[in-house]
Amino acid sequence: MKKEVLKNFEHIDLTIVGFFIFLSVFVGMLLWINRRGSESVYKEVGQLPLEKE
Amino acid sequence: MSDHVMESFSYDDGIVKKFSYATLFWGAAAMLVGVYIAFELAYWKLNGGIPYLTFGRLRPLHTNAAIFAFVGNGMFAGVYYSTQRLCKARLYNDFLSRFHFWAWQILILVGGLSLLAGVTTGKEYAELEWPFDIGITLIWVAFAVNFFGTLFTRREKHIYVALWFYIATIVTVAVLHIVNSLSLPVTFLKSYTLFAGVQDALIQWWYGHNAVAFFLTTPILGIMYYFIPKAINRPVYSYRLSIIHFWSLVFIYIWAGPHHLLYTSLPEWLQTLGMVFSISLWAPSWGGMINGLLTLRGAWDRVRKEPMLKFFATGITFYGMSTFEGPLLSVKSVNQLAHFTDWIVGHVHSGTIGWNYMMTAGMLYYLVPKIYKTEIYSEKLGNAQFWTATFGLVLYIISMWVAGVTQGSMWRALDQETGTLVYPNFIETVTQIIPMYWVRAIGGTLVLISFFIMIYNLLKTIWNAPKDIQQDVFTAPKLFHNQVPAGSGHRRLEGMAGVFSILAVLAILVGSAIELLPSIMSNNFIVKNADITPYTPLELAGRDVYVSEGCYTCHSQMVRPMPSEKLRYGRPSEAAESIYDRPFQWGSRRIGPDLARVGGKYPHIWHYRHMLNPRATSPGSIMPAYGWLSKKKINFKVLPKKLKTLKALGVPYDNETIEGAIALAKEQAEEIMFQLAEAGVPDSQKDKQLIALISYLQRIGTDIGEEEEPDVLAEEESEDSENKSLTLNRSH
Repeated sequence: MKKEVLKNFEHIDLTIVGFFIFLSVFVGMLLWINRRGSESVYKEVGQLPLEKE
Repeated sequence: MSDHVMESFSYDDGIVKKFSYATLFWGAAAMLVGVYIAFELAYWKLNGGIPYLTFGRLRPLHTNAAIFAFVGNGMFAGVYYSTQRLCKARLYNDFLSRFHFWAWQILILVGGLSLLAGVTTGKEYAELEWPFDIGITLIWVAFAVNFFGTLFTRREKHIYVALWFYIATIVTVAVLHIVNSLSLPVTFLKSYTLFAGVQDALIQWWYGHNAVAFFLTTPILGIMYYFIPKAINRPVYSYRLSIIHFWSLVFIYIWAGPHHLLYTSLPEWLQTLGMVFSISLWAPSWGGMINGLLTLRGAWDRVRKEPMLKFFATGITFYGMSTFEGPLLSVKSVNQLAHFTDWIVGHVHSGTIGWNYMMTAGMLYYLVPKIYKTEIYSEKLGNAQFWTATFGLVLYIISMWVAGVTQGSMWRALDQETGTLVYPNFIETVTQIIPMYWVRAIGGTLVLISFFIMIYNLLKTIWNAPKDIQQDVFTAPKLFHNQVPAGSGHRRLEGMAGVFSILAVLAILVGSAIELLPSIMSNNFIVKNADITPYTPLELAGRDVYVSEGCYTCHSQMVRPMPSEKLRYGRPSEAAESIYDRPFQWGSRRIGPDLARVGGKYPHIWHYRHMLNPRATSPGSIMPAYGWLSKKKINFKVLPKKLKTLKALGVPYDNETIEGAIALAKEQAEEIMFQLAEAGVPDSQKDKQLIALISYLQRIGTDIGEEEEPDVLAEEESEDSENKSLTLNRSH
């Protein structure tokens, strides 16, 4: 099936661009949310709905 | 810091009340219509020979009412309730809130009536004609200004994750709605789409799928992230996971649209793209589901007792189920069986009833007692509602699975020895699943009954509430926006509404651009075929009748490239064949047979008799009779204008044809009439819509020859030339 897909897919440059966009977004996001000091911030933000209205 | 300036404010709960009432009202209406059309499929006589009651007109009314009226109003209630509290601010502008509410209700009412009257664009979930599209845009802008205004005047530094989901909803729905509604008006209530055929199909399903994503899913996820922690008084299980959930969902969802067009004449690379991204959606969807369910951990004892939590828990579970089923159905080999069958209908309802209805019910059970400062009238009734709805939904889904797999298997069953279809008569595959239609209608009725239980329960709650409620007044420190929030970079991004919104827009635009632009920009997107010519004026009039009556709700126009379809319908459809189709009419469900090759298959008189009484020509048919088409006259006068509009859109009509459109149409009607007269049809029929419709039906799929020479070779050749043209296009 892979062969068939590749045979029909002409936009190789798009694949590469897409791959790097997605890879960098996801890696970046993972680094971002696990940055130093984030633990306490997320704990605080997670409490927002529970604050007295 | 800013805490030396204190401000006092109150929330606008009046608008939340209004939207909640509207949710109850339109929810009942949408489900009532749904139940009625479910019974129509089981028992065709319910179509009643009345135009306004036919399945073709009521089905768009049902889908639009369920999505935009029921879920829409519920979403607005939830968004307005939670946004004020998460921002510690009253809604930005009371007038905008009122305008948003009343204009939306009026639009639903008038728009609904227009659908009944057969005024439709023929594009699924976007059937409303251009004046309504402009109205929707204006109301959406009012909603956006009101929401972002509240966000910018907030008294809380952080933007909680629920608000992110609302931001994504607002910006994406705006983009989707505007692009998909682009059209050129002919008259006040008729327009032709800017894009045609394959391009129209691609844009329509980019819109259609993301209406599911950004109208039915992301706002409800925001509601989940706010209301569930509220309901059980615990924070969300993992805030980090909610961030991953958000960005992955926004990034990936936008690409998945082409899974609605698998095995059609959409270019292969787009189909593959749609399938791959649909499968990728499994991960973020389940991440979100797990996050929601785990938030309920430690509160399961309460789920046993409280209907509100039952609805939330079940809603999230159905979110998980339908986001499992969706990617499964997007796998090409599964889609080959399931596409055009009731399996898809079952899937959609496990989302709309299982996820949207359940989550909306949970939300209303939380906020109605809260706003009215009272307790819910009866938990017992709430539990009764829950079990009735769940049982009805299970009946619905299972019957549709059985119907879908049965019909799909029958369509493609081939006799191993003779190589012919085992069920060559389409009607056989319909009568086989009618018992399932009854089960579905009963399941739907139970869901409707459950909804009425909720209406009663909530109205009783409101009536029993204390009457002299004082409006709460709160105080909070003013937030100065020129102050950079303290802390490291995260607060800047996650606290900056403007930057955040731009990032979210970028996320959806990247996918949209890569998917849509090659098709819009490229002249070589479709391999041209000189044999394909524009419709004659009469055929065009007939096509507009076809669109207006909602024929696409039951008939596809897309022969997929597989042996069983070729045997049943004829040569597989090609992209070039629909280049003059505005809108495309490939359809999504075959309650009746495909019509892509119906042209020339039967004599005119067959169609004439069939439209007046489908059972006269096709015993066992469940199609409504279209008697009024033999009474309503063709609007000849508007034809030159229609042709002129199409010419402006790029259809090669010459001036002679445009000016002589009326005469040409009458001439063609005479020709058809001549043949019909031989079979005894009175001459008075020659200016009736039925004749125009016949001219269109006889034209569909006839431009390219019956058979291509040596099949395999020719197909390979055309693929080669397609590849070449795409390569050429890439190089300049």
